[in-house]
Amino acid sequence: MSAVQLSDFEQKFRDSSDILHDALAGSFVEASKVMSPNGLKVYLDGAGALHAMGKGEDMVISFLEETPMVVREVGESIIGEIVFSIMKMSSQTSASVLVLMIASLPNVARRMSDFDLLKGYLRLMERMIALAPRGMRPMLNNIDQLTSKLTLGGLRRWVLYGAETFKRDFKAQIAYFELSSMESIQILEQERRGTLFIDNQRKLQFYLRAFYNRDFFLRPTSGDYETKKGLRPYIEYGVMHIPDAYDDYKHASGRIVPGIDCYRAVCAHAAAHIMETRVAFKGDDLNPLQVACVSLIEDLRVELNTLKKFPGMKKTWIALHPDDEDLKELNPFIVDLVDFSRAALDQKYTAKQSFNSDFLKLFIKKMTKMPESSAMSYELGMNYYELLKTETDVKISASALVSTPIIYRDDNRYIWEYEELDWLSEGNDYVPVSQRQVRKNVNIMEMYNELDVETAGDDAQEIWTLESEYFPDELDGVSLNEVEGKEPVSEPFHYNEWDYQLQLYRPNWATLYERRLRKGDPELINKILKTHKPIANQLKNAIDRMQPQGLVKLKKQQEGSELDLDACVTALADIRSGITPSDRIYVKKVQHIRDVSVNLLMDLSESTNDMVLGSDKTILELMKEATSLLSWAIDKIGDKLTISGFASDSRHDVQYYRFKPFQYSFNDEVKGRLAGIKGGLSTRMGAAIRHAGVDLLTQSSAKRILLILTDGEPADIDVDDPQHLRMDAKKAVEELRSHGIVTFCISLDPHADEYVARIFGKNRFMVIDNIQKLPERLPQLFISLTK
Amino acid sequence: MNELDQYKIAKEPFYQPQKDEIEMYTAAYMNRMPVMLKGPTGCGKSRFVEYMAYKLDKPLITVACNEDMSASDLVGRFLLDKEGTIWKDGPLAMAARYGGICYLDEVVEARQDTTVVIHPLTDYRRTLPLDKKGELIEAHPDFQLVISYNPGYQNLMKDLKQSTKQRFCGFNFQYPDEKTEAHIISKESGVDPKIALKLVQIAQRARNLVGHGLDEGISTRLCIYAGQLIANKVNEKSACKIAMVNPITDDLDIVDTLNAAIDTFFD
Ligand SMILES: Nc1ncnc2c1ncn2[C@@H]1O[C@H](COP(=O)(O)OP(=O)(O)OP(=O)(O)O)[C@@H](O)[C@H]1O
Ligand SMILES: [Mg+2]
Repeated sequence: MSAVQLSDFEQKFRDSSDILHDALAGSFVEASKVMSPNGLKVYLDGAGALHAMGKGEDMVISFLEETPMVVREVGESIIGEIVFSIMKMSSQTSASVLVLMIASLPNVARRMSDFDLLKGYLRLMERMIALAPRGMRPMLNNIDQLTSKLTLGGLRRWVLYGAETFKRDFKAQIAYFELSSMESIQILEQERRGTLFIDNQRKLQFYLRAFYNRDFFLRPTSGDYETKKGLRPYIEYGVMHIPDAYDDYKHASGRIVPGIDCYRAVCAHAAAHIMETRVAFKGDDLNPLQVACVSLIEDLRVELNTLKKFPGMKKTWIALHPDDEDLKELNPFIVDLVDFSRAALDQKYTAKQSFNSDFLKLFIKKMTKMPESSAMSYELGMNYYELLKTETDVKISASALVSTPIIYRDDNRYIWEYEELDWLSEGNDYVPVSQRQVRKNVNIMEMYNELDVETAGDDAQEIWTLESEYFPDELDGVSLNEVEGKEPVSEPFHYNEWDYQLQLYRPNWATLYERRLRKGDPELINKILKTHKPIANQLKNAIDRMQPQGLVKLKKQQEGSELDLDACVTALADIRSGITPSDRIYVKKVQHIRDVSVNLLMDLSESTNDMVLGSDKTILELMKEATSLLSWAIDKIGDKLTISGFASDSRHDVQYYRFKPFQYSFNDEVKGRLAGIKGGLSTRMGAAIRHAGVDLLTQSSAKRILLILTDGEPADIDVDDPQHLRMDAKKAVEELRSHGIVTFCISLDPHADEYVARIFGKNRFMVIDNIQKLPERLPQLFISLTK
Repeated sequence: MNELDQYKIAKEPFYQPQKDEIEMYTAAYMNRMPVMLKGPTGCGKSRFVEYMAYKLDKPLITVACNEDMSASDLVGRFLLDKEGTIWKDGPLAMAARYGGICYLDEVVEARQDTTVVIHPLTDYRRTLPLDKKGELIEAHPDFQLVISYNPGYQNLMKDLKQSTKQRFCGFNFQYPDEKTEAHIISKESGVDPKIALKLVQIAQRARNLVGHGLDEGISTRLCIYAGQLIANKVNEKSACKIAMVNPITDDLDIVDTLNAAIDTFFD
């Protein structure tokens, strides 16, 4: 199985303009970095199909350009969904609205960062086009503002309200959707999301780790749109799916439980299941009431077991049990369940129903005997159902059962096993997304894996291509031994890669080679320095200020290499006159040394060849200028510096370039290498960080710093899940930190805020939004960072 | 031995053994083996040495090492007085000369050119050359050197040299188990044992975060601080916050998490 070739698809676009062809060629490169062969095929087929619709090329071009960015956020399964949605909408609206809709996708994807949520967004767009087509354009013009304020559920409610209310009043409809009517703003405020999952994910992760000393996997899920109630949390494949926003929980009494406490209660309960529920119950023969009873007992069993270790946790849970006043309008069956649940958790609460009190005694007794047994929950749950049936007149609809008033408990799909679901294998433990996909589309993944693993032949071919591109001068054998006698391609270095879903390292997963690029003309760098003379002068001032001039002489010291004459005279005089003299009679010379080693690691992936907006330079050219100035500055400061770069082409080929080894000064050799910097391929950051760390560890400096200069986030062609390489990079940063190396990221990606902090830590990154300023900012930044 | 009498520990310090460290240390001392105590901050290393010095009835000279410390700070230096210059032994020389236990606390903090002066004392030679004075001290038979160091990772860049490490036998200290630690806290701070247990449980939450956002967990020492505050009628939650949370992190998400843990254990 060979890789997808663009030429195979070209006949689909035979009758199209040059612009489209250019877009196709450009986007293909971008797409092949983030998509598997199968994804690429869906992508190109989709583009072909959109083209065949004859709605104009703009739409096709948008699709081609935006989709890779969307895939980067939520994975490639979204491609088919996008194509499907566009096709569905195309009969109902103009091409220009579709272009707007497509253009909104990367940002929305970034905000939602979840496949299902983005799919929900597409469904909403389809719905809206049917209901209020005129509102589409004004709304899409405001989509960034809307998604920053609303969850998907909120957006749905806001859209549907406007669409319903102004069905016929087109003027008002437009005003509503362009956010210029009072009503529109009002509803927006009302829907404004409460406490957001995204804002609290880190806290929750800490919370869970603090209590259970392990990591759990959390994902946001969108709220229900008809009611304002959030979807219930659920656990699947060991992942906690948690509503993307919680409003503060208000009891009828006025008592308020803050949103973050709701989140904690949810997480603690879900963790209790994951830790305590060992087997699944067969649910096929039970009626919904029986299911509810068994679920309740099992919920309480896992909670009570948790409370043995952390008695205080019950406060969080009790706070989210409805009070009497909250229960007024609810079905008596539910009220009885809540009554039992409260009594079981809260010793200060006595059950209203005496049969609940009696049953609780039985439950507690069983709990002391066999707390670990889920089977006990089943048996007891069934007994409890029988009891309720005899004691009360149970009448309840299945739908009323679904919405329990105890909001923090998940829907318990986790503990039930139905015929069609193979619980054991889908099971208790987390199954990584990739493996799940194997299940779904075996053929594609098999193909894909084959391509991935059986690389020997393919690989050689690739290396051959690279070599011919990168080392033509070294290949003639003359320049080969010229520099420090190393081969252009090093021995392979193997690095582990962190699998955040399994919480394990994949051993020796990434293979890294040190490589050389063809040298450029050193004059190019001299020219850069010359054009930036004014900046260099400014920098020189800053450098002078940070450097103490020469040796510092400290007088009146207890010890030192020379006598302090003044102090000696005073001391002798003191001795003569019978006073105890000071023993501080030496001059100590100290060299104010900055003991710093720096590795400047550049991301040299394909995207660095992009032009910078509003400039005639590419990102790479600006990086080149910036590193030249920085090397110049660091050379003046006297710190130890190495400059390196990386790119990757799957885990089998992470490429690491050394432009300036530590021992070189800023000489012509280095300038030549810097001048020859090229961009290409992908960004497997973790392996490069680890290698850069090894390099730094050869230095004995007190302070070792890794500066990463990147224009985007980690990604590679053989990785589908956009989180995977982020998490691995984060792990790599932690590993370096444990060796005393400080990692700092300078990102040129304006959207980086959302992920760099997670990878590098707060205060450990900076986003330079005006890339044109990079040559000036980089050295300044370095100076201020190391002052 | 009179010279070192002021360094004798008068009252038996409270020390709660965790394992067999007392027997092991005694054996090491019998052979005058240099000892290295490893463990996170505030887990009882210093207290253990004090206790052993008391038990063995030997003077204990403690030096808190820091980056600015020079070799003369350990060995000694010439001072001036009316008659001219006089030599003053540093703590290490004093312990070696008169026979005491010299405890270099947080030894990694000292620069490596400082730490090498202990080399001749810690091998078969058991001598300390006073270069400036031109004297070679033969260590007293009672002399022993103990160093402590915290392998927690902020110190990895100033790790001890192998040639230094390999002169010592090592004792690994950890925070004691829950019950033992609670007992220590309650005994040291006077706080109710039940509360002490809660303090330990809160500390354990933070220790779970070590390496995942925290560099060091909450130490026994900080638990004792909180216990002392509570024993002095400070509100429990506030005591925990100021003694156990604020000192260890500035990361707001972690502060929030630890506060949630405090709320879980105290009402
Ligand atoms: N096993 C123990 N028995 C008695 N007290 C203890 C014990 N462990 C810890 N402590 C108490 O904890 C406090 C801190 O211990 P200590 O000062 O010995 O820590 P340390 O390990 O030397 O820390 P550092 O590395 O920061 O110097 C002591 O003052 C003592 O009150
Ligand atoms: Mg100590």
